[in-house]
Amino acid sequence: MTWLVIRFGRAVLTLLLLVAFVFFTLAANGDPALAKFGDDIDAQTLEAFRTKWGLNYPLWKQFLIYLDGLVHFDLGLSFRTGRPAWELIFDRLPATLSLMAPTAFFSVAIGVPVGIYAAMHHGGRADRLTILAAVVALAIPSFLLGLLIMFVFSVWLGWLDPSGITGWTSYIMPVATMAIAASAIFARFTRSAMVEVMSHPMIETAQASGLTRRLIQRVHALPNVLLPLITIAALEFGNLITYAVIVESVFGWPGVGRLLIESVAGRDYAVVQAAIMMTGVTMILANFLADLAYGFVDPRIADARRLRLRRTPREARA
Amino acid sequence: MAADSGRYEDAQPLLTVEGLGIRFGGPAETPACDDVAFSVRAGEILGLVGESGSGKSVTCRALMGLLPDAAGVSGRMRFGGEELALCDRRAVARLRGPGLSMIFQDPMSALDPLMTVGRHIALRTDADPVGILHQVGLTDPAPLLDSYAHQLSGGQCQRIAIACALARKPKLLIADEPTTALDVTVQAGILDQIRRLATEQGMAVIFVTHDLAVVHQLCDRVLVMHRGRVVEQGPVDAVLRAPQHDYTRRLLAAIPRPAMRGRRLGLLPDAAPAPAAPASVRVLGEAPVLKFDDIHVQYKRGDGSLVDAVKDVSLSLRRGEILGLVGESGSGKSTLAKTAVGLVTPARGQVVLKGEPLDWNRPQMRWRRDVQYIFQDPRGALDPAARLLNQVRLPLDLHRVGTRAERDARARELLGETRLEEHLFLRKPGSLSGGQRQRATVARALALQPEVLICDESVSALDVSIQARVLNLLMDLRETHGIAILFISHDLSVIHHLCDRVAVMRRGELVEQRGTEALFAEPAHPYTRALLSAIPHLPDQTGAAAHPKEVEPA
Repeated sequence: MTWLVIRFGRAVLTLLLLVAFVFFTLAANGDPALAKFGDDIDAQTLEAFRTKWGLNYPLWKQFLIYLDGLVHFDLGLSFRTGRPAWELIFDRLPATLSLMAPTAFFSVAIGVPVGIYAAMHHGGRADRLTILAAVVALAIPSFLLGLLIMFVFSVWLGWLDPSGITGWTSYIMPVATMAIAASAIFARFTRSAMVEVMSHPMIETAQASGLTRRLIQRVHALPNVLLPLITIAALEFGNLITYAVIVESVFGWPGVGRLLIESVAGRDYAVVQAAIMMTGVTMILANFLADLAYGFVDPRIADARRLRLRRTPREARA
Repeated sequence: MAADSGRYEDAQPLLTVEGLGIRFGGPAETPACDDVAFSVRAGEILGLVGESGSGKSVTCRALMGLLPDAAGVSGRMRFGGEELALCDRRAVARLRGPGLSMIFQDPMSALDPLMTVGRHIALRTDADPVGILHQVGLTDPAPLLDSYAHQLSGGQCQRIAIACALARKPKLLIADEPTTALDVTVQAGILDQIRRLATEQGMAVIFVTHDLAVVHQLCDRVLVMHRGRVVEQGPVDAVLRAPQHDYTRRLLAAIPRPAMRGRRLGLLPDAAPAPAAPASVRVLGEAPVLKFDDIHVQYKRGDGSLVDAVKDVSLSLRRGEILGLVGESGSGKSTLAKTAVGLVTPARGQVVLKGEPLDWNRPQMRWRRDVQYIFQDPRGALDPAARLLNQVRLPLDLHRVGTRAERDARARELLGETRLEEHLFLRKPGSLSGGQRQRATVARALALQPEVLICDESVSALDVSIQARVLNLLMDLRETHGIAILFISHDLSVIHHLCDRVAVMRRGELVEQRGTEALFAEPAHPYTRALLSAIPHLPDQTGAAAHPKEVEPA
């Protein structure tokens, strides 16, 4: 379990650094009191607001107070609404997750088979076409892609509602916008991983002993491609959150992404902090799960971890 | 083994290849293979020899249908009564498994790192995997079934790769340099196994190698290839004892053998083999120029524990002496040598250069000048983006020797000394052959007139003709400059040919250290004896030598 303890310690440290970074960056960003009341407000009201929210303390003390709240699972109150920050986040979370889940599904379900297909026709027309399509999909910024899709399907064809949630059809455009870019990334990485695996000597060895191409692809190539895909999937998860912020703004989606943008504009520190914290925790969790998955897929990594555990104290000293 | 293969002599050949031609690129390009024809009988082992680029590997791949689609293949093959056009890759591929099977050079990458040994076998056959692993000489196979490639040794991996190839009971096994990456004792075991499979099960084998001694030990017949053509074929003894073709003669002349010890080897492009000027095997000085004093080196493993890589080894090298350092992979040979140039720091002990102990925490430029190191892979040792001349001049530039013009002249002189042609001086390494590159690294190492040259497997990756050139060059250097050479190699024939004294290492310890003649005549340590008995030998070209086909498995 040593490995787990090290991993956990590292995760906590990462989180702490993230919190500190966000806290001080926000503090350097302007006065939340002025943001709430505007410039022409009397000094007394401002003072009262600052005292109420503990903004009169020196910055380091504010940070310690914030940390103290954090360890008691208190993420602070929203300046603008007075409600607990986590409550605001959790209100919006289902809307965001309901975008991310289908996006994750479609990007893997489309990107991985397309990548494998391209790799199987390595150098051919299908391969070149796939790469071209993937580059185009990645080159278009997602806000532009979103607007384009909205223009075609809502304005021009009039098939779909341009914003808000009115039914399952509302999901089509935002999910498509996110999934196009994400599946392009999966397709490219799957393709290059597959091409690399198929040029490994073990493939030739398997062919030479009479295994069929189809069997080789299934038992040798796919598991070996899975390994780099795990890494990409973990990274891609973080990307999805970024996409969500943009796409939610474009399609007027009531999710965490839009909450984040509103809160940054209103200098609602506690909410911004909480949203970023949540993102950080999910990223760390995703990477942790990816590491755990390596151990299951790759016996070499599993062995290295086991070796670290088996080390006797005598050996460790020597 | 002539008697064993005699059983099959009347039978029809199992495989006949006719008019095999292979082209990469258009008709203007030189073909990789041209009009290759041969046949193999059941139970027969056919050796396929030639230097790199001679077309031996592509020939095998054409028979397996493993060449890329871009390659143009022509010719026909008859296999067990079935007649096929070699360009029909689907038809050829259908024979894979129960018909033909193939194993390759690198055993570690032949297996899927994510798959257990047992599953590798189970994918190919329903038969009992334990029995199949027994068949390839793995004595206790049951625990191996659940292991992965990274948990096994190179020899074990190659045996499992053979087991995979044999699982569908092929009639013909093609082995492409299967022992080149393995230690000599492990090689002996694998060769013995292949011989046994051929005799006991009547399996035909095509054994591709660059090593004629291995061919002599293992094969019944041999096919010599040169630039895509078959230049000579026939029974092994006949071809190796009395070669008919000029190329075969020159190939044989380039191989170090006991009769040629200490003399210049014949060079392939030259017409006359062996100028035979006897080298003076004389040690010029008595005081050691380089001394390893009780060197102890420890390595940290991935889990933080320490491993003793070199255990209190003392060794000294005199001026003008060539000292051979042998041992299997992981025996600590390179680690020991690297302490002399500060690439490895010993935990205890010291390296003494001309009476001065080396402390690499306070390195002196003159130490780097006096000791030069040549690595195995010349590709990795040269800067791919710089011209040869500049790379050879670089040490002179760094040590600020003379004027720019003088340095330039000196670099040209050095490259000339290694017999590199003038028009290559301004080339970059990418457009040169392995041998040309290795000669450039030798020239660079000599630039500062070192007193000690450390050659770490420096000729192991080279073809015999190029190896012969480099060996001749090293002998010249010792005579003309009195350089002391520490020559690390796993190839005992080369060691025997070149060295005055030999030190044998095993698991970080020095087990034996004596004059070459004495050591090869009467090895004292059992490990040295095991090493020596595992070397494949060439026959004498005139007299009749023993034909050691049966070897104890390692």
